[in-house]
Amino acid sequence: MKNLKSQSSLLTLILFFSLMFLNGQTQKGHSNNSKFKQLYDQFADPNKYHNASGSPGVEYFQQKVDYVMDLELDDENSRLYGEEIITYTNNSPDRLPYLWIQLDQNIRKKDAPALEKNGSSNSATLRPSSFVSNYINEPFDGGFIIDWVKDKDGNPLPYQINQTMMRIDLTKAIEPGSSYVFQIKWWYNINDHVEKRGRSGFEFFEEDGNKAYVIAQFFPRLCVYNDVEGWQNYQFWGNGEFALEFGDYEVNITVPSDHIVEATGSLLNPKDVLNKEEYKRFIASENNFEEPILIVNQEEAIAKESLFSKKKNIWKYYAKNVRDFGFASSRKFIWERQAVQVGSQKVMAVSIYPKEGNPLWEEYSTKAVIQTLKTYSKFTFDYPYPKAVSVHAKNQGMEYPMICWNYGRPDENGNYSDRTKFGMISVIIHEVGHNFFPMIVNSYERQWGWMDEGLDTFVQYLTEQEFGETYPEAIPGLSKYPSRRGNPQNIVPYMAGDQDFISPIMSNPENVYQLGPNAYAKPATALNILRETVMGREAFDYAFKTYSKRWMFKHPTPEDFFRTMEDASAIDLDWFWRGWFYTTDAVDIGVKKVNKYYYSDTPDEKAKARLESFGYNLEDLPEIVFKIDNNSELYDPNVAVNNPIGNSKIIKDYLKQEQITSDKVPNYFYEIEFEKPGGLVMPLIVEYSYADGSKERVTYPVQLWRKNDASVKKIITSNKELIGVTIDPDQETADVNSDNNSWPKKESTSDFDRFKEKIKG
Amino acid sequence: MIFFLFLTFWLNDLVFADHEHKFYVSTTSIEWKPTSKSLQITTQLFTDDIQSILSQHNQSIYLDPDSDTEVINQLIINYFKKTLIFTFDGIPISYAFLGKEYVKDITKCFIELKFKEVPNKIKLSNELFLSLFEDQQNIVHFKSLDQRKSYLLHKNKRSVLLTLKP
Repeated sequence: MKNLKSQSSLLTLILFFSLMFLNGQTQKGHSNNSKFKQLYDQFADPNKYHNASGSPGVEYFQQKVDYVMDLELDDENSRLYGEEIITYTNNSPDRLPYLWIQLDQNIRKKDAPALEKNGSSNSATLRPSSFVSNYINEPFDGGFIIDWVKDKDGNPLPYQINQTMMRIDLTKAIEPGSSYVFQIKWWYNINDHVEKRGRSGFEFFEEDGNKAYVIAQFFPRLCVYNDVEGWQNYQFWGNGEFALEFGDYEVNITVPSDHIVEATGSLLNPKDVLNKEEYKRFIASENNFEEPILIVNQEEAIAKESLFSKKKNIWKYYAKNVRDFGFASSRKFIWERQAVQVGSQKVMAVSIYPKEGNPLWEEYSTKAVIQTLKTYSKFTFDYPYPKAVSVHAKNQGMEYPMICWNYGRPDENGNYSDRTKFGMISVIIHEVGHNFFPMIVNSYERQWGWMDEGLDTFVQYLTEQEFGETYPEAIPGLSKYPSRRGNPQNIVPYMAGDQDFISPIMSNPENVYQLGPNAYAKPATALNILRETVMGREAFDYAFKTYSKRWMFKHPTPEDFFRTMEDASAIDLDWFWRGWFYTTDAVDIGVKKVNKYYYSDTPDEKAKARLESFGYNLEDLPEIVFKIDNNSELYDPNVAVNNPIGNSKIIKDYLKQEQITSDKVPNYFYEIEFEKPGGLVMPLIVEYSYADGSKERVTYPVQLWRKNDASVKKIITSNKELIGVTIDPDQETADVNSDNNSWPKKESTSDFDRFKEKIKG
Repeated sequence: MIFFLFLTFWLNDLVFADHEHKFYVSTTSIEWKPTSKSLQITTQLFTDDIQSILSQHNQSIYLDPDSDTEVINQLIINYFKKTLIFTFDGIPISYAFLGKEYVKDITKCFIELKFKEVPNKIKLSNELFLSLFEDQQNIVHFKSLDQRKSYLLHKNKRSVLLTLKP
């Protein structure tokens, strides 16, 4: 042993020089392209508004905008009239010489640029309805008509409209810390949201001549002014949704007296707008925690269908600390309410739907609302608003504070498929869930669709699973609720798909090919994998809750989310965000080779060649032994059985000298090579199977790949013979290729083979 | 396995509320087996979509559970003959419909195409549901030996060429 140290440093030295002069020329350099590189190059610098731990900074500010509105719905002509008084409070450190207002309805103007945002081409076929709408119909005459803009004293204010935004020029800049009051009067033609899809509008029921309105993006609203964007200036093009300031709303809605209305906020005058019986039920429902109480039942709703009352009612609402306002109105609505206890708060779970939604809606809508409030509150914060309403509107799935529109309709005979039923329950959970993201955790949707859609879809998955547990009778024959999104295997077809049609999650929603998987399914799945496989539930849940609470009623950025998840867990996740959110890479990890080996005193040809290349003679070396693996010409399978030290006298002598008994030596030595054809790095989850039937699960940390992006080896020693290696045995990493996941290579039984086998039998 | 996408660039609609909007998609996975000179084809469809198509031909049928499996299978075969067509040099290549099974709200159809002589390239034209939904998307996954390719077909791109390596 005497010379070992000096000998081995000599070896190192030789190796070093041999590498240095390898090519005899200077190699080309490169920048840091490690999958584990810090994310500083992608992140905005932390500052006093958004700090490095992902929290609002010491000087974080947010504007406040309060609205007082009088609205009138003209049912006959499908028009909406409004007059609003806006109080703008400038909490920023900046003087504001003008204000920007969002006019989302202008996307329906005849000459809206959004009409021409897509290329068009002639396809070989066309449905007759499309022929008419493409070539014959006049375009819909939509968009805001602004009657006037005035200051609080009634003096007209100059304004200029640019597409879906309007700038109001002020005579004097609004100083930091001060408020400014002004007024706008407007009206617009309400569109048919079924005919030309839209988030807002009416559905016309030919049978009885009624309309059901779901109204949103319906009033001139302030753009966001903040430290990240200044004035928000990304126009409304249709896909990227909304960015809005919080404030308090007082809204009076005038509708035909036979209409039932639901809206953001608390109804202040139920006695004025409801009949005696309805009012009695309304009050009774406030403390009914057992089941929904019908304020208007189906029979009563049907009886009103032919009334077309000329009289009017004014429904008065008040909502505190909301970012928007939406309402639904129709004489066709059936209306049910049930109280739910969420933490210390009592919340009303509410459903309204035309009879066309039954028998599905009376069965599941309110149940889905309640489950959403409970599960989301558990993973984030207690739902802070007094109610959550689910409105049935054909083809819709759209969210507003305290209220949302949802699809899911049986056929004319009241029959529905499982797809319709689960689709309806899922969309209600999703849209009610949006109260948390982005209605309260108010991310900038127009830039980052995934921040609300992805987070919401993730908690939706958790909620659906709990819904299945709460209502097993709703999922007959299934052990779990059939969630479409969230399960790692479900994202595989997308991530394995044609790269020409995939964008990174960190893309603007207008510019991605497939918004569904891009902004909903992939981020939701990524978070699910983060929770189950990378961070563990405890660390994840604490960090996720921390993020939710930190940014309640505030405007977080992507960095705030990424940083908080690391900050609250002490887990560096830069590699995960970089791979899953900033690239379109996929997971593909496999097992390439398994070599059995033992040690011998005699070198094989490979070892000899290696020694020679260093200019060594065996005699010059201290006592060393040589690895003989199953590819070596010296390999003797008989020696390998139960005998990793083979016939090595050197090791046997050394063991004796150190007084180590030979039963301490493991029976088998294996060298396993893992490969990683996929671009994403992930923890390596391996199941080893042994001849005695036992199995062992090992998770190697993701850091294993940091210096070996393509492949990495691991040594396994065991007293039992290794007979199988399986990567990701529970399919929890969204590995897009399972062909290389087993040793010995398993011809995985395809679905096809299995079916063929079945029909043979 | 079925997933949902919203490809916006050929939609004519001005605005679409794509929040959890209904989506129209089918997935056809094809595996080339050189040793048996065959294509193993699994086509996954939403059960209510195929129900709507078949109901156009026969009002009284109902899928999952089937009102009459033989009648329904024959209707599916007839429909596939018109919408899922493999050709070589413009000549259709016939295939066998082995059967179907239901998983959740999805119908999986199993098809086998056996070649007598193997052409090096064949054309698959996939027009499933294009007559029903304008924004229908038909995804094709093709696996040949160790190679995988995915294609996204729709009303403006209805076919794809598949290379069969020996």
